[in-house]
Amino acid sequence: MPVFEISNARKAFGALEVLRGVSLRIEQGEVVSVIGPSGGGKSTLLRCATLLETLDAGTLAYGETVCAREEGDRSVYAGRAALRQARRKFGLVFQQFDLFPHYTVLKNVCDAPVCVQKRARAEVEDEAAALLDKMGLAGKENAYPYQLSGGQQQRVAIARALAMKPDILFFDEPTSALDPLLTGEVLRVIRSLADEHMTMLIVTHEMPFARAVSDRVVFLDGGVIVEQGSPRQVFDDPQQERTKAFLRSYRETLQE
Amino acid sequence: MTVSTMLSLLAQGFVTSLLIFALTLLFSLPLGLAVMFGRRSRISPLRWFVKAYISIMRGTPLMLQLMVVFYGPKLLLGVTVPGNWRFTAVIVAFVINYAAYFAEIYRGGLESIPRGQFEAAEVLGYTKGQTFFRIILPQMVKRVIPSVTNEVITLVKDTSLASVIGTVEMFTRAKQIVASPNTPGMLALVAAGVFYYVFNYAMAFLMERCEKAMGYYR
Repeated sequence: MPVFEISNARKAFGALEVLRGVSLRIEQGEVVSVIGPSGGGKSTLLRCATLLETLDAGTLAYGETVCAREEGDRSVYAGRAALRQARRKFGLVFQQFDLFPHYTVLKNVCDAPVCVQKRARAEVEDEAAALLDKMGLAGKENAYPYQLSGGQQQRVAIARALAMKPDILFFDEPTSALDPLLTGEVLRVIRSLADEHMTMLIVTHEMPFARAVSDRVVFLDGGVIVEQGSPRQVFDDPQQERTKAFLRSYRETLQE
Repeated sequence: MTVSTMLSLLAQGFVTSLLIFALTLLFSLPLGLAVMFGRRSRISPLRWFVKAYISIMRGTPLMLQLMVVFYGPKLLLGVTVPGNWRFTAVIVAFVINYAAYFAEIYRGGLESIPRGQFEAAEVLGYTKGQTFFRIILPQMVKRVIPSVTNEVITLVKDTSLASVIGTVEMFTRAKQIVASPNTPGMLALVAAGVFYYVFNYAMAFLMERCEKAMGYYR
């Protein structure tokens, strides 16, 4: 059973169709990167997957927990309890980190497990300390987000998501707000998670990273999956004209 | 009238001014939060009602509102409210007026908080109530303190408006002293001014301390 499955997803904002029938399933331990031009639907796909937006049509499920089923070409969402259960199964790392500025690093990581999942504080704090250590943030427990670099903040955000013990972790352009130096440290952390077979879906513009870390690369453009396959297939031997054009313009931008 | 008699009369009036000040803040600060929720409600009749209420509170003089609240029951309904209606009316008028201003200040604070904060909380599974009280409200308080300080200071001076319906607070006392023969009238006005100023200075100091206390994060 896939950890995450979205099928025939459609979403329009007014007259603008952003998702035009996207289907994607992710198996346990799989790392999938989603690439594609801005406005191609990557962020909307992620926002629909994480219940920040609702689908117009299509289905959405996390394992056995069905969030949305289809009825007469429209998505019908499950009740509040089922959606709450689904939210326990995924985590999301934002482009702008979105840490809680009034909480220390430790509290950012521990607050949701304690207040939402009602787990024992002592146990959560021990786990959080270990997570922060793994993220290279030992000793930063009592710092406030503003005292950290962007790269450190993003690593705290990753720890915050992991502390909820999600089945799958989503990343929304996790390094787009960072300079190249800080990008490296965040990508290293994500790569170490991939090495541990954390199930992940990563929306990114970092092509070399996507190639190195992914089991599968999905090229999304115009609200549809144009092409997908292993990194080697998509990057070295793309079959579709739009994929070729996108990769070409990406390489040209790099050379400029 | 000796200077010390005058000062003690003013001080008695000042106690009433302080009472108006304290009771108004006590009720209007939380009421403003409720008004803000009404102003942002998804139920449009409620939202329109609250918008109209805020608009009237901001668009008419507080002095007039005091008179309407005080004389309204008698003139409109022919009812004489038992108890010390004069003082109660002052508090009611001040509270509903200030709650309207506080509601708009809070709304400004709330709407200035990045959407990512709400979304991060939602994805982490916080309920709406938890999101508001744990994540949003603390940040909101920090953002609205400078504007609230303005209102607090204005309120200290506005207590003098209670004079219009005959509440004997400090300003009324000062007027009485000026009007009676053989009194140090000018001195009474200056002394009242000093009372207001010193108290406001203390308030500004206190609010600055609050601001500093919230300065541990950005």
